[in-house]
Amino acid sequence: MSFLLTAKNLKATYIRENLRVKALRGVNLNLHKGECVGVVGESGCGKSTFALSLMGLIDSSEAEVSGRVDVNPAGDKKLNLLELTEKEKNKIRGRYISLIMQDPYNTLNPVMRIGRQLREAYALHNRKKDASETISRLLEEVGLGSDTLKAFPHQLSGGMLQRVCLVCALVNNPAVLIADEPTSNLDVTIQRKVINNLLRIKEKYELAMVFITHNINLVAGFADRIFILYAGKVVEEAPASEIFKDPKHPYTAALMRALPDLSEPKRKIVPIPGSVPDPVDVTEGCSFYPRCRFAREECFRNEILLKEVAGGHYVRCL
Amino acid sequence: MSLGNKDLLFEGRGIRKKYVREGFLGSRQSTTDALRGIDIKMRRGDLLGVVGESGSGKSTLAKIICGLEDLSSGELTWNVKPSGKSHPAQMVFQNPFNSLNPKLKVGYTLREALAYGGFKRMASVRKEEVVALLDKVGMNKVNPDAYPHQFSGGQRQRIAIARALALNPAVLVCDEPVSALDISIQAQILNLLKEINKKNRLAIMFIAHDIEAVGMISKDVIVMKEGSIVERGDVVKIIKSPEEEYTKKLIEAVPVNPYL
Repeated sequence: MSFLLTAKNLKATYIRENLRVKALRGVNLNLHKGECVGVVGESGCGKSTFALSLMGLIDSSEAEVSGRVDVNPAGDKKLNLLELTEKEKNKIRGRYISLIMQDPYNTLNPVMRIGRQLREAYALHNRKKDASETISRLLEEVGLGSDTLKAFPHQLSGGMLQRVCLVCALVNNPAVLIADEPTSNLDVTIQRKVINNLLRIKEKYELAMVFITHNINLVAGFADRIFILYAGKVVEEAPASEIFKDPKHPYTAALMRALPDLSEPKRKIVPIPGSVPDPVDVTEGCSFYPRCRFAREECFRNEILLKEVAGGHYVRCL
Repeated sequence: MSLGNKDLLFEGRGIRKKYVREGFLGSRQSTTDALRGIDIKMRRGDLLGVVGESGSGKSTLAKIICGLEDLSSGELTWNVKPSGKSHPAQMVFQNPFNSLNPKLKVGYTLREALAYGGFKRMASVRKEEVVALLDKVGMNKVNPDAYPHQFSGGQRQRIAIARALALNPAVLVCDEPVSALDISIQAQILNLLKEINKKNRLAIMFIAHDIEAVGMISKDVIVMKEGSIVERGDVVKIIKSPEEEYTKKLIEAVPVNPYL
Protein backbone atom coordinates (compact mmCIF):
# COMPACT_ATOMS: atom_id res chain seq x y z
CA MET A 1 0.00 0.00 0.00
CA SER A 2 1.34 3.38 -0.83
CA PHE A 3 1.02 6.27 1.56
CA LEU A 4 1.04 9.97 0.83
CA LEU A 5 2.72 10.79 4.09
CA THR A 6 4.46 8.57 6.61
CA ALA A 7 6.06 9.52 9.86
CA LYS A 8 8.31 6.99 11.54
CA ASN A 9 9.44 7.26 15.13
CA LEU A 10 9.16 11.04 14.95
CA LYS A 11 10.78 12.72 17.93
CA ALA A 12 11.28 16.36 18.75
CA THR A 13 13.23 17.69 21.70
CA TYR A 14 13.45 21.41 22.32
CA ILE A 15 16.61 22.64 23.94
CA ARG A 16 15.85 25.35 26.48
CA GLU A 17 19.02 26.51 28.17
CA ASN A 18 20.19 23.24 29.69
CA LEU A 19 16.77 21.57 29.78
CA ARG A 20 15.61 19.04 27.26
CA VAL A 21 11.91 19.45 26.56
CA LYS A 22 10.73 16.18 25.07
CA ALA A 23 7.70 17.41 23.16
CA LEU A 24 7.35 14.49 20.80
CA ARG A 25 8.60 11.04 21.76
CA GLY A 26 8.19 8.72 18.80
CA VAL A 27 5.04 9.04 16.75
CA ASN A 28 4.18 6.90 13.74
CA LEU A 29 1.64 7.89 11.13
CA ASN A 30 0.54 6.56 7.76
CA LEU A 31 -1.74 8.68 5.67
CA HIS A 32 -3.59 7.42 2.59
CA LYS A 33 -5.07 9.43 -0.22
CA GLY A 34 -8.33 11.08 0.83
CA GLU A 35 -8.02 9.89 4.40
CA CYS A 36 -8.62 12.07 7.43
CA VAL A 37 -6.73 11.39 10.63
CA GLY A 38 -7.83 13.19 13.78
CA VAL A 39 -5.18 13.90 16.40
CA VAL A 40 -6.63 14.66 19.82
CA GLY A 41 -4.95 15.71 23.05
CA GLU A 42 -4.70 18.43 25.67
CA SER A 43 -2.42 21.47 25.46
CA GLY A 44 1.16 20.48 26.03
CA CYS A 45 0.77 17.00 24.59
CA GLY A 46 2.85 17.79 21.52
CA LYS A 47 0.05 18.36 19.02
CA SER A 48 1.44 21.52 17.48
CA THR A 49 5.00 20.21 17.53
CA PHE A 50 3.68 17.21 15.61
CA ALA A 51 2.13 19.48 12.97
CA LEU A 52 5.28 21.56 12.64
CA SER A 53 7.56 18.54 12.40
CA LEU A 54 5.40 16.99 9.69
CA MET A 55 5.99 20.18 7.69
CA GLY A 56 9.70 20.20 8.49
CA LEU A 57 9.20 23.59 10.05
CA ILE A 58 11.16 23.13 13.25
CA ASP A 59 14.54 24.76 12.99
CA SER A 60 17.51 22.67 14.04
CA SER A 61 18.74 25.46 16.29
CA GLU A 62 15.53 25.22 18.27
CA ALA A 63 15.01 21.52 18.60
CA GLU A 64 16.43 18.15 17.72
CA VAL A 65 14.06 16.38 15.37
CA SER A 66 14.75 12.73 14.64
CA GLY A 67 12.95 9.95 12.85
CA ARG A 68 11.55 10.16 9.34
CA VAL A 69 8.82 12.05 7.56
CA ASP A 70 8.47 10.41 4.17
CA VAL A 71 6.76 12.21 1.36
CA ASN A 72 6.33 11.16 -2.21
CA PRO A 73 5.88 14.31 -4.28
CA ALA A 74 6.98 12.95 -7.64
CA GLY A 75 5.15 9.67 -7.22
CA ASP A 76 8.20 7.53 -7.79
CA LYS A 77 10.49 7.78 -4.80
CA LYS A 78 10.23 8.51 -1.14
CA LEU A 79 11.97 11.52 0.29
CA ASN A 80 12.68 12.09 3.96
CA LEU A 81 11.53 15.65 4.49
CA LEU A 82 13.71 16.04 7.56
CA GLU A 83 16.91 15.44 5.62
CA LEU A 84 16.24 17.89 2.82
CA THR A 85 17.72 21.34 2.55
CA GLU A 86 15.51 24.35 3.14
CA LYS A 87 15.35 24.98 -0.61
CA GLU A 88 14.22 21.44 -1.35
CA LYS A 89 11.67 21.58 1.47
CA ASN A 90 10.19 24.74 0.00
CA LYS A 91 9.48 22.88 -3.22
CA ILE A 92 7.36 20.40 -1.27
CA ARG A 93 5.71 22.69 1.25
CA GLY A 94 2.57 24.32 -0.10
CA ARG A 95 2.66 22.24 -3.26
CA TYR A 96 2.47 18.77 -1.77
CA ILE A 97 1.81 19.31 1.93
CA SER A 98 0.20 22.38 3.37
CA LEU A 99 -0.61 23.75 6.80
CA ILE A 100 -3.46 25.74 8.27
CA MET A 101 -2.87 27.14 11.73
CA GLN A 102 -4.92 28.01 14.76
CA ASP A 103 -4.84 31.77 14.79
CA PRO A 104 -5.72 33.43 11.49
CA TYR A 105 -4.95 36.87 12.94
CA ASN A 106 -1.28 35.97 13.27
CA THR A 107 -1.04 33.93 10.08
CA LEU A 108 -1.79 36.70 7.62
CA ASN A 109 0.25 39.81 7.05
CA PRO A 110 -1.69 42.72 8.54
CA VAL A 111 -0.37 45.35 6.12
CA MET A 112 -0.90 43.49 2.87
CA ARG A 113 -4.18 43.09 1.03
CA ILE A 114 -5.59 39.55 0.96
CA GLY A 115 -5.36 39.34 -2.84
CA ARG A 116 -1.65 40.07 -2.88
CA GLN A 117 -0.97 37.52 -0.15
CA LEU A 118 -2.86 34.81 -2.00
CA ARG A 119 -1.15 35.64 -5.32
CA GLU A 120 2.20 35.54 -3.57
CA ALA A 121 1.45 32.06 -2.20
CA TYR A 122 0.36 30.92 -5.64
CA ALA A 123 3.44 32.32 -7.34
CA LEU A 124 5.74 30.20 -5.17
CA HIS A 125 4.91 27.17 -7.26
CA ASN A 126 3.11 28.47 -10.35
CA ARG A 127 3.16 31.20 -12.95
CA LYS A 128 1.88 34.36 -11.35
CA LYS A 129 -0.37 35.36 -14.22
CA ASP A 130 -2.62 32.31 -13.80
CA ALA A 131 -3.23 33.14 -10.16
CA SER A 132 -6.53 35.02 -10.44
CA GLU A 133 -8.50 32.11 -11.83
CA THR A 134 -7.48 29.59 -9.16
CA ILE A 135 -7.85 32.10 -6.36
CA SER A 136 -11.32 33.28 -7.32
CA ARG A 137 -12.48 29.68 -7.81
CA LEU A 138 -11.27 28.69 -4.35
CA LEU A 139 -12.69 31.81 -2.74
CA GLU A 140 -16.05 30.99 -4.23
CA GLU A 141 -15.83 27.45 -2.88
CA VAL A 142 -15.34 28.70 0.66
CA GLY A 143 -18.20 31.16 0.24
CA LEU A 144 -16.22 34.39 0.01
CA GLY A 145 -16.77 37.04 -2.64
CA SER A 146 -14.06 38.49 -4.86
CA ASP A 147 -14.23 41.77 -2.94
CA THR A 148 -12.32 39.94 -0.18
CA LEU A 149 -9.22 40.28 -2.34
CA LYS A 150 -9.13 44.02 -1.85
CA ALA A 151 -9.56 43.84 1.92
CA PHE A 152 -6.90 44.01 4.59
CA PRO A 153 -7.00 41.27 7.25
CA HIS A 154 -8.36 43.58 9.96
CA GLN A 155 -11.43 44.27 7.86
CA LEU A 156 -12.52 40.63 7.94
CA SER A 157 -13.98 38.56 10.75
CA GLY A 158 -12.18 35.58 12.31
CA GLY A 159 -14.23 33.06 10.36
CA MET A 160 -13.58 34.84 7.07
CA LEU A 161 -9.86 35.09 7.82
CA GLN A 162 -9.66 31.40 8.58
CA ARG A 163 -11.34 30.68 5.24
CA VAL A 164 -8.79 32.94 3.56
CA CYS A 165 -6.07 30.88 5.25
CA LEU A 166 -7.73 27.77 3.91
CA VAL A 167 -7.63 29.19 0.40
CA CYS A 168 -4.01 30.17 0.96
CA ALA A 169 -3.16 26.61 1.98
CA LEU A 170 -4.91 25.18 -1.07
CA VAL A 171 -3.85 27.50 -3.92
CA ASN A 172 -1.11 25.15 -5.00
CA ASN A 173 -3.39 22.13 -4.95
CA PRO A 174 -1.60 20.09 -2.28
CA ALA A 175 -2.24 16.40 -1.65
CA VAL A 176 -1.97 16.64 2.11
CA LEU A 177 -3.43 19.27 4.42
CA ILE A 178 -2.41 19.58 8.05
CA ALA A 179 -4.93 21.52 10.11
CA ASP A 180 -3.68 22.54 13.55
CA GLU A 181 -6.73 23.48 15.64
CA PRO A 182 -8.15 25.54 12.76
CA THR A 183 -11.39 26.36 14.54
CA SER A 184 -10.46 26.61 18.21
CA ASN A 185 -10.49 30.40 18.19
CA LEU A 186 -13.87 30.66 16.50
CA ASP A 187 -17.46 30.79 17.68
CA VAL A 188 -19.42 27.54 17.45
CA THR A 189 -21.58 28.71 14.55
CA ILE A 190 -18.56 30.00 12.61
CA GLN A 191 -16.69 26.82 13.49
CA ARG A 192 -19.45 24.80 11.86
CA LYS A 193 -19.24 26.92 8.67
CA VAL A 194 -15.46 26.62 8.40
CA ILE A 195 -15.55 22.86 9.05
CA ASN A 196 -18.25 22.39 6.40
CA ASN A 197 -16.16 24.32 3.86
CA LEU A 198 -13.09 22.33 4.76
CA LEU A 199 -14.88 19.00 4.40
CA ARG A 200 -16.48 19.90 1.08
CA ILE A 201 -13.08 20.87 -0.32
CA LYS A 202 -11.45 17.77 1.12
CA GLU A 203 -13.99 15.56 -0.69
CA LYS A 204 -13.74 17.46 -3.95
CA TYR A 205 -9.95 17.42 -4.20
CA GLU A 206 -9.50 14.08 -2.42
CA LEU A 207 -7.24 15.72 0.12
CA ALA A 208 -5.60 13.67 2.81
CA MET A 209 -5.88 15.50 6.08
CA VAL A 210 -4.37 15.49 9.54
CA PHE A 211 -6.81 17.35 11.77
CA ILE A 212 -5.46 18.35 15.14
CA THR A 213 -7.86 19.38 17.91
CA HIS A 214 -8.58 19.16 21.61
CA ASN A 215 -12.27 18.53 21.05
CA ILE A 216 -12.76 14.82 20.51
CA ASN A 217 -16.41 15.26 19.53
CA LEU A 218 -15.50 17.64 16.75
CA VAL A 219 -13.28 15.21 14.83
CA ALA A 220 -15.58 12.28 15.55
CA GLY A 221 -17.92 13.64 12.91
CA PHE A 222 -15.50 13.30 10.01
CA ALA A 223 -12.20 11.58 10.87
CA ASP A 224 -11.55 8.08 9.57
CA ARG A 225 -9.00 7.27 12.23
CA ILE A 226 -8.32 8.94 15.56
CA PHE A 227 -5.00 9.24 17.35
CA ILE A 228 -4.95 10.16 21.02
CA LEU A 229 -1.73 11.95 21.85
CA TYR A 230 -0.49 12.20 25.41
CA ALA A 231 2.87 13.55 26.56
CA GLY A 232 4.34 13.21 23.08
CA LYS A 233 3.22 9.65 22.45
CA VAL A 234 0.22 8.08 20.79
CA VAL A 235 -1.65 6.29 23.57
CA GLU A 236 -4.50 5.02 21.45
CA GLU A 237 -5.12 4.74 17.74
CA ALA A 238 -8.30 3.36 16.25
CA PRO A 239 -10.93 3.83 13.55
CA ALA A 240 -13.34 6.56 14.69
CA SER A 241 -16.22 4.10 14.81
CA GLU A 242 -14.26 1.87 17.21
CA ILE A 243 -12.70 4.29 19.63
CA PHE A 244 -15.93 5.77 20.98
CA LYS A 245 -17.74 2.49 21.36
CA ASP A 246 -14.89 0.95 23.22
CA PRO A 247 -12.17 3.33 24.40
CA LYS A 248 -9.33 1.13 25.65
CA HIS A 249 -7.05 3.73 27.17
CA PRO A 250 -8.16 5.39 30.43
CA TYR A 251 -7.09 8.77 29.02
CA THR A 252 -9.41 8.43 26.02
CA ALA A 253 -12.28 7.53 28.31
CA ALA A 254 -11.45 10.44 30.60
CA LEU A 255 -11.40 12.88 27.68
CA MET A 256 -14.84 11.72 26.66
CA ARG A 257 -16.27 12.11 30.15
CA ALA A 258 -14.87 15.63 30.44
CA LEU A 259 -17.03 16.94 27.61
CA PRO A 260 -20.55 18.23 28.13
CA ASP A 261 -23.13 16.41 26.10
CA LEU A 262 -26.01 18.21 24.48
CA SER A 263 -28.35 15.23 24.51
CA GLU A 264 -27.94 14.92 28.26
CA PRO A 265 -27.41 18.48 29.48
CA LYS A 266 -27.58 17.59 33.14
CA ARG A 267 -25.13 14.71 33.03
CA LYS A 268 -22.23 15.41 35.35
CA ILE A 269 -18.99 16.10 33.56
CA VAL A 270 -15.91 14.66 35.12
CA PRO A 271 -12.71 16.66 34.96
CA ILE A 272 -9.41 14.83 34.56
CA PRO A 273 -7.50 15.29 37.81
CA GLY A 274 -3.97 16.69 37.69
CA SER A 275 -2.35 18.05 34.59
CA VAL A 276 -0.22 17.03 31.64
CA PRO A 277 3.28 16.00 32.78
CA ASP A 278 6.13 18.42 32.35
CA PRO A 279 7.85 17.36 29.11
CA VAL A 280 11.21 18.01 30.75
CA ASP A 281 11.01 15.06 33.08
CA VAL A 282 8.79 12.49 31.43
CA THR A 283 9.87 8.94 32.02
CA GLU A 284 9.63 5.91 29.80
CA GLY A 285 6.75 4.29 31.70
CA CYS A 286 3.15 5.34 31.27
CA SER A 287 2.92 9.13 31.46
CA PHE A 288 -0.75 9.07 32.37
CA TYR A 289 0.07 7.03 35.47
CA PRO A 290 -0.38 9.86 38.06
CA ARG A 291 -3.83 10.75 36.74
CA CYS A 292 -5.09 7.25 36.07
CA ARG A 293 -7.77 5.47 38.09
CA PHE A 294 -6.38 2.05 37.24
CA ALA A 295 -2.71 2.78 37.86
CA ARG A 296 -0.64 -0.12 39.15
CA GLU A 297 2.97 -0.42 40.08
CA GLU A 298 3.94 -2.06 36.78
CA CYS A 299 2.64 0.93 34.85
CA PHE A 300 5.65 3.16 35.28
CA ARG A 301 8.40 0.58 35.48
CA ASN A 302 9.07 -0.05 31.81
CA GLU A 303 8.15 1.49 28.53
CA ILE A 304 4.72 0.35 27.47
CA LEU A 305 4.44 -0.59 23.82
CA LEU A 306 1.58 0.15 21.50
CA LYS A 307 -0.23 -3.16 21.05
CA GLU A 308 -3.04 -4.13 18.72
CA VAL A 309 -6.20 -5.11 20.58
CA ALA A 310 -8.52 -5.41 17.59
CA GLY A 311 -8.25 -4.82 13.84
CA GLY A 312 -6.55 -1.45 13.49
CA HIS A 313 -7.14 -0.58 17.14
CA TYR A 314 -3.90 0.07 19.02
CA VAL A 315 -3.48 1.01 22.65
CA ARG A 316 -0.52 1.84 24.88
CA CYS A 317 -1.75 0.38 28.17
CA LEU A 318 -1.20 -2.77 30.17
CA MET B 1 -44.22 38.08 45.73
CA SER B 2 -42.39 38.96 48.90
CA LEU B 3 -39.80 36.21 48.81
CA GLY B 4 -38.99 37.01 45.21
CA ASN B 5 -38.46 40.63 46.04
CA LYS B 6 -36.27 39.92 49.00
CA ASP B 7 -34.05 37.73 46.89
CA LEU B 8 -34.04 40.04 43.92
CA LEU B 9 -30.54 41.36 43.29
CA PHE B 10 -30.96 43.61 40.32
CA GLU B 11 -33.41 44.38 37.62
CA GLY B 12 -32.72 45.98 34.29
CA ARG B 13 -35.40 47.35 32.01
CA GLY B 14 -34.97 48.34 28.41
CA ILE B 15 -31.20 48.48 28.60
CA ARG B 16 -29.76 50.00 25.46
CA LYS B 17 -26.20 50.65 24.52
CA LYS B 18 -25.03 52.59 21.53
CA TYR B 19 -21.38 52.87 20.63
CA VAL B 20 -20.43 55.88 18.57
CA ARG B 21 -17.28 55.57 16.57
CA GLU B 22 -15.69 58.67 15.19
CA GLY B 23 -14.10 58.48 11.80
CA PHE B 24 -10.63 59.74 10.95
CA LEU B 25 -10.18 63.30 12.25
CA GLY B 26 -13.78 63.25 13.33
CA SER B 27 -14.86 63.16 9.71
CA ARG B 28 -17.50 60.51 9.68
CA GLN B 29 -19.42 58.81 12.43
CA SER B 30 -20.82 55.36 12.70
CA THR B 31 -22.98 54.01 15.47
CA THR B 32 -23.38 50.44 16.62
CA ASP B 33 -26.41 49.36 18.57
CA ALA B 34 -24.79 46.84 20.87
CA LEU B 35 -27.88 46.36 23.04
CA ARG B 36 -31.40 47.09 21.88
CA GLY B 37 -33.63 46.96 24.91
CA ILE B 38 -32.75 44.18 27.33
CA ASP B 39 -34.96 43.23 30.27
CA ILE B 40 -33.09 41.16 32.78
CA LYS B 41 -33.22 40.34 36.45
CA MET B 42 -31.39 38.04 38.76
CA ARG B 43 -32.16 36.64 42.18
CA ARG B 44 -29.95 35.20 44.87
CA GLY B 45 -28.73 31.73 43.96
CA ASP B 46 -29.54 32.10 40.27
CA LEU B 47 -27.26 30.53 37.72
CA LEU B 48 -28.14 32.29 34.52
CA GLY B 49 -26.59 31.32 31.20
CA VAL B 50 -26.25 33.79 28.35
CA VAL B 51 -25.52 32.47 24.85
CA GLY B 52 -25.12 34.06 21.47
CA GLU B 53 -22.65 34.48 18.64
CA SER B 54 -19.81 37.00 18.70
CA GLY B 55 -21.28 40.45 18.31
CA SER B 56 -24.61 39.58 19.89
CA GLY B 57 -23.94 41.93 22.81
CA LYS B 58 -23.17 39.38 25.52
CA SER B 59 -19.99 41.07 26.70
CA THR B 60 -21.54 44.54 26.55
CA LEU B 61 -24.34 43.33 28.79
CA ALA B 62 -21.79 41.86 31.19
CA LYS B 63 -19.84 45.11 31.32
CA ILE B 64 -22.98 47.14 31.97
CA ILE B 65 -24.04 44.87 34.81
CA CYS B 66 -20.57 45.15 36.34
CA GLY B 67 -20.63 48.91 36.01
CA LEU B 68 -17.69 48.94 33.63
CA GLU B 69 -19.75 50.60 30.94
CA ASP B 70 -22.58 53.12 31.11
CA LEU B 71 -25.89 52.40 29.48
CA SER B 72 -27.25 54.70 26.82
CA SER B 73 -30.87 54.41 27.91
CA GLY B 74 -33.05 52.22 30.09
CA GLU B 75 -32.43 51.53 33.74
CA LEU B 76 -30.59 49.12 35.95
CA THR B 77 -31.56 49.09 39.60
CA TRP B 78 -29.77 47.20 42.33
CA ASN B 79 -31.55 45.80 45.32
CA VAL B 80 -28.32 45.26 47.23
CA LYS B 81 -26.91 47.37 50.03
CA PRO B 82 -23.51 48.59 48.93
CA SER B 83 -20.77 46.86 50.87
CA GLY B 84 -17.53 48.79 50.78
CA LYS B 85 -16.57 50.63 47.67
CA SER B 86 -16.68 47.69 45.31
CA HIS B 87 -19.41 47.08 42.80
CA PRO B 88 -21.97 44.36 43.68
CA ALA B 89 -21.21 42.56 40.41
CA GLN B 90 -17.69 41.32 39.76
CA MET B 91 -16.30 39.97 36.56
CA VAL B 92 -14.22 36.95 35.57
CA PHE B 93 -12.75 37.42 32.13
CA GLN B 94 -12.21 35.01 29.30
CA ASN B 95 -8.49 34.84 29.28
CA PRO B 96 -6.69 34.39 32.61
CA PHE B 97 -3.38 34.87 30.78
CA ASN B 98 -4.31 38.50 30.21
CA SER B 99 -6.48 39.30 33.20
CA LEU B 100 -3.84 38.74 35.88
CA ASN B 101 -0.94 41.12 36.22
CA PRO B 102 2.14 39.07 35.27
CA LYS B 103 4.46 41.16 37.43
CA LEU B 104 2.58 40.71 40.68
CA LYS B 105 2.73 37.70 42.93
CA VAL B 106 -0.60 35.95 43.09
CA GLY B 107 -0.77 36.57 46.83
CA TYR B 108 -0.30 40.30 46.23
CA THR B 109 -3.07 40.40 43.64
CA LEU B 110 -5.43 38.69 46.05
CA ARG B 111 -4.39 40.81 49.05
CA GLU B 112 -5.03 43.92 47.01
CA ALA B 113 -8.55 42.69 46.22
CA LEU B 114 -9.20 41.66 49.83
CA ALA B 115 -8.07 45.05 51.09
CA TYR B 116 -10.25 46.85 48.60
CA GLY B 117 -13.28 44.72 49.40
CA GLY B 118 -12.73 44.88 53.16
CA PHE B 119 -12.01 48.61 53.44
CA LYS B 120 -8.60 48.14 54.96
CA ARG B 121 -4.98 48.72 54.20
CA MET B 122 -3.14 45.98 52.37
CA ALA B 123 -0.72 45.48 55.23
CA SER B 124 -3.55 44.51 57.54
CA VAL B 125 -4.77 41.68 55.32
CA ARG B 126 -3.72 38.53 57.09
CA LYS B 127 -2.05 35.65 55.31
CA GLU B 128 -4.82 33.32 56.46
CA GLU B 129 -7.38 35.37 54.57
CA VAL B 130 -5.46 34.81 51.33
CA VAL B 131 -5.19 31.09 52.05
CA ALA B 132 -8.90 30.88 52.88
CA LEU B 133 -9.70 32.66 49.64
CA LEU B 134 -7.56 30.29 47.61
CA ASP B 135 -9.22 27.43 49.44
CA LYS B 136 -12.61 28.61 48.18
CA VAL B 137 -11.48 27.95 44.62
CA GLY B 138 -9.89 24.59 45.39
CA MET B 139 -6.28 25.83 45.51
CA ASN B 140 -5.42 25.21 49.15
CA LYS B 141 -1.92 23.90 48.58
CA VAL B 142 -0.46 26.54 46.31
CA ASN B 143 2.23 29.01 47.10
CA PRO B 144 0.83 32.57 47.18
CA ASP B 145 4.32 33.90 46.49
CA ALA B 146 4.34 32.48 42.97
CA TYR B 147 3.77 34.54 39.85
CA PRO B 148 0.91 33.94 37.40
CA HIS B 149 3.19 32.37 34.77
CA GLN B 150 4.03 29.60 37.21
CA PHE B 151 0.43 28.40 37.14
CA SER B 152 -1.46 26.47 34.49
CA GLY B 153 -4.37 28.01 32.61
CA GLY B 154 -6.93 26.33 34.83
CA GLN B 155 -5.20 27.46 38.02
CA ARG B 156 -4.94 31.00 36.69
CA GLN B 157 -8.66 31.06 36.01
CA ARG B 158 -9.25 29.86 39.57
CA ILE B 159 -7.11 32.74 40.83
CA ALA B 160 -9.12 35.17 38.72
CA ILE B 161 -12.30 33.74 40.25
CA ALA B 162 -10.79 34.07 43.75
CA ARG B 163 -9.94 37.70 43.07
CA ALA B 164 -13.55 38.38 42.09
CA LEU B 165 -14.82 36.56 45.20
CA ALA B 166 -12.53 38.65 47.42
CA LEU B 167 -14.81 41.62 46.84
CA ASN B 168 -17.87 39.81 48.20
CA PRO B 169 -19.95 40.29 45.08
CA ALA B 170 -23.68 39.72 44.93
CA VAL B 171 -23.31 38.54 41.35
CA LEU B 172 -20.34 36.87 39.71
CA VAL B 173 -20.32 37.63 36.00
CA CYS B 174 -18.22 35.15 34.04
CA ASP B 175 -17.57 36.22 30.47
CA GLU B 176 -16.61 33.08 28.53
CA PRO B 177 -14.55 31.80 31.45
CA VAL B 178 -13.69 28.49 29.82
CA SER B 179 -13.28 29.32 26.13
CA ALA B 180 -9.52 29.79 26.45
CA LEU B 181 -9.03 26.61 28.47
CA ASP B 182 -8.40 23.01 27.63
CA ILE B 183 -11.26 20.52 27.64
CA SER B 184 -10.21 18.72 30.82
CA ILE B 185 -9.69 22.04 32.62
CA GLN B 186 -13.01 23.40 31.36
CA ALA B 187 -14.79 20.69 33.26
CA GLN B 188 -12.94 21.63 36.46
CA ILE B 189 -13.88 25.29 36.18
CA LEU B 190 -17.50 24.54 35.30
CA ASN B 191 -17.79 22.26 38.31
CA LEU B 192 -16.14 24.86 40.53
CA LEU B 193 -18.59 27.57 39.47
CA LYS B 194 -21.49 25.23 40.09
CA GLU B 195 -20.16 24.44 43.54
CA ILE B 196 -19.64 28.12 44.45
CA ASN B 197 -23.17 28.84 43.30
CA LYS B 198 -24.61 26.06 45.42
CA LYS B 199 -22.57 26.62 48.56
CA ASN B 200 -23.06 30.34 49.06
CA ARG B 201 -26.16 30.86 46.95
CA LEU B 202 -24.02 33.27 45.00
CA ALA B 203 -25.72 34.38 41.81
CA ILE B 204 -23.64 33.62 38.72
CA MET B 205 -24.12 34.91 35.22
CA PHE B 206 -22.36 32.58 32.83
CA ILE B 207 -21.69 33.83 29.32
CA ALA B 208 -20.65 31.49 26.53
CA HIS B 209 -20.88 31.11 22.81
CA ASP B 210 -21.66 27.44 22.94
CA ILE B 211 -24.93 26.35 24.41
CA GLU B 212 -23.38 23.04 25.44
CA ALA B 213 -21.43 24.46 28.37
CA VAL B 214 -24.36 26.64 29.35
CA GLY B 215 -26.63 23.60 29.33
CA MET B 216 -24.28 21.80 31.63
CA ILE B 217 -23.94 24.55 34.20
CA SER B 218 -27.00 26.78 34.31
CA LYS B 219 -30.68 26.40 34.98
CA ASP B 220 -32.07 29.28 32.99
CA VAL B 221 -30.72 30.65 29.78
CA ILE B 222 -31.00 33.81 27.72
CA VAL B 223 -30.34 33.58 24.00
CA MET B 224 -29.03 36.82 22.54
CA LYS B 225 -28.94 37.93 18.94
CA GLU B 226 -27.85 41.31 17.63
CA GLY B 227 -28.38 43.05 20.94
CA SER B 228 -31.78 41.59 21.75
CA ILE B 229 -32.98 38.63 23.74
CA VAL B 230 -34.68 36.24 21.33
CA GLU B 231 -35.49 33.39 23.68
CA ARG B 232 -35.33 32.73 27.40
CA GLY B 233 -36.32 29.98 29.77
CA ASP B 234 -35.30 26.66 31.22
CA VAL B 235 -32.09 25.52 29.55
CA VAL B 236 -33.01 21.85 29.21
CA LYS B 237 -36.32 22.75 27.64
CA ILE B 238 -34.71 25.14 25.21
CA ILE B 239 -32.08 22.63 24.15
CA LYS B 240 -34.73 19.94 23.67
CA SER B 241 -37.25 22.10 21.83
CA PRO B 242 -35.96 25.51 20.77
CA GLU B 243 -38.56 27.84 19.35
CA GLU B 244 -36.42 30.38 17.55
CA GLU B 245 -34.59 29.59 14.30
CA TYR B 246 -31.53 31.28 15.74
CA THR B 247 -31.48 29.06 18.84
CA LYS B 248 -31.83 26.02 16.60
CA LYS B 249 -28.82 27.22 14.62
CA LEU B 250 -26.77 27.57 17.80
CA ILE B 251 -27.71 24.07 18.89
CA GLU B 252 -27.00 22.52 15.50
CA ALA B 253 -23.56 24.13 15.41
CA VAL B 254 -22.38 22.15 18.43
CA PRO B 255 -20.19 19.31 17.23
CA VAL B 256 -22.03 16.06 17.85
CA ASN B 257 -20.22 12.80 18.12
CA PRO B 258 -22.11 10.41 15.83
CA TYR B 259 -20.77 7.38 17.65
CA LEU B 260 -22.14 8.21 21.06
